Amino acid sequence: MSRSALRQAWLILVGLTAMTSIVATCTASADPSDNATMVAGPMLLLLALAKTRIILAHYLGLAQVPSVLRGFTVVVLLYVVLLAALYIAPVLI
Amino acid sequence: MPPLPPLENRTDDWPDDWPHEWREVSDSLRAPSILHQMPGDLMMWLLIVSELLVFGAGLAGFMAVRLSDPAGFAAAQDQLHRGAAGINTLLLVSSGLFAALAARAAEAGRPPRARLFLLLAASLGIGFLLIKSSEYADLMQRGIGTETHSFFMFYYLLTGFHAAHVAAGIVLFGVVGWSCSPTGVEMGAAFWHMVDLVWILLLPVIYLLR
Repeated sequence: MSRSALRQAWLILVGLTAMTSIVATCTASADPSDNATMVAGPMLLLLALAKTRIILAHYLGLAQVPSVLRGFTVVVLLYVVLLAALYIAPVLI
Repeated sequence: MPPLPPLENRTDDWPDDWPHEWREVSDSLRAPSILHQMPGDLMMWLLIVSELLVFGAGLAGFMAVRLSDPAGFAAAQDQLHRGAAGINTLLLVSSGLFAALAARAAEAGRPPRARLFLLLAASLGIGFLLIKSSEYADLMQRGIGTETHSFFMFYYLLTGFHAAHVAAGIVLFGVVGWSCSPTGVEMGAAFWHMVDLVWILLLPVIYLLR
């Protein structure tokens, strides 16, 4: 992994962290059952998934082995879907 | 029947009269497996996956318990410092960059540079722990402990276990920075990236999902 690729990955991570902060700030005082929080929750989890993928691909070097990176991404995606389902469940029940 | 050529021979070295199936089997035997293509040591990956599973189970457990009292969990979450958690995220992803640069420098045979990057990564890790300590101190000063609410039991357990990993990573940086072997620094950096990954998943679940 080249230095510029690592720096680029870091910049993307910082950008995603900033987006996470913006989304979280917008819903910080909202009611848990509010529609805005229902949208923001899965969005925050998707941002975490994106950050996870960048760390796996660039920091941990899995970009060299795309099939393994895909496997890890699918597992984390399924996990994020589980968390999102558990998050939304109280409103749906 | 022609004799079996040695495995290290190239495909185009196979005798012309070999059946196609034999060539395919031989090629598959000589092709590097996915495990060999993965960067770093296999044990390191086993550690990363097992740690992710442990924290993953903890966070899923947290979300499952939240089902019974979402309003209580949101009220408890309001006691946390979201801004401090955001700063800690920046510290960890930046220290991850330095750890990755350290591994690269060690591989390029530049130990002084690798040590400098390890020092920078460890410094940011110490910054993370200082912020986390002040967060714990503030909560405890307000009388918020593990028994205040089930939210805080999970909070202290998961963030405390994670902070212990951060502390272990800082010690590991000191150990691998001593000899500065490429393999050692790569393993230390990989451990740090695992700590980083856990925090990235922990942040929304504990601090942000209302």
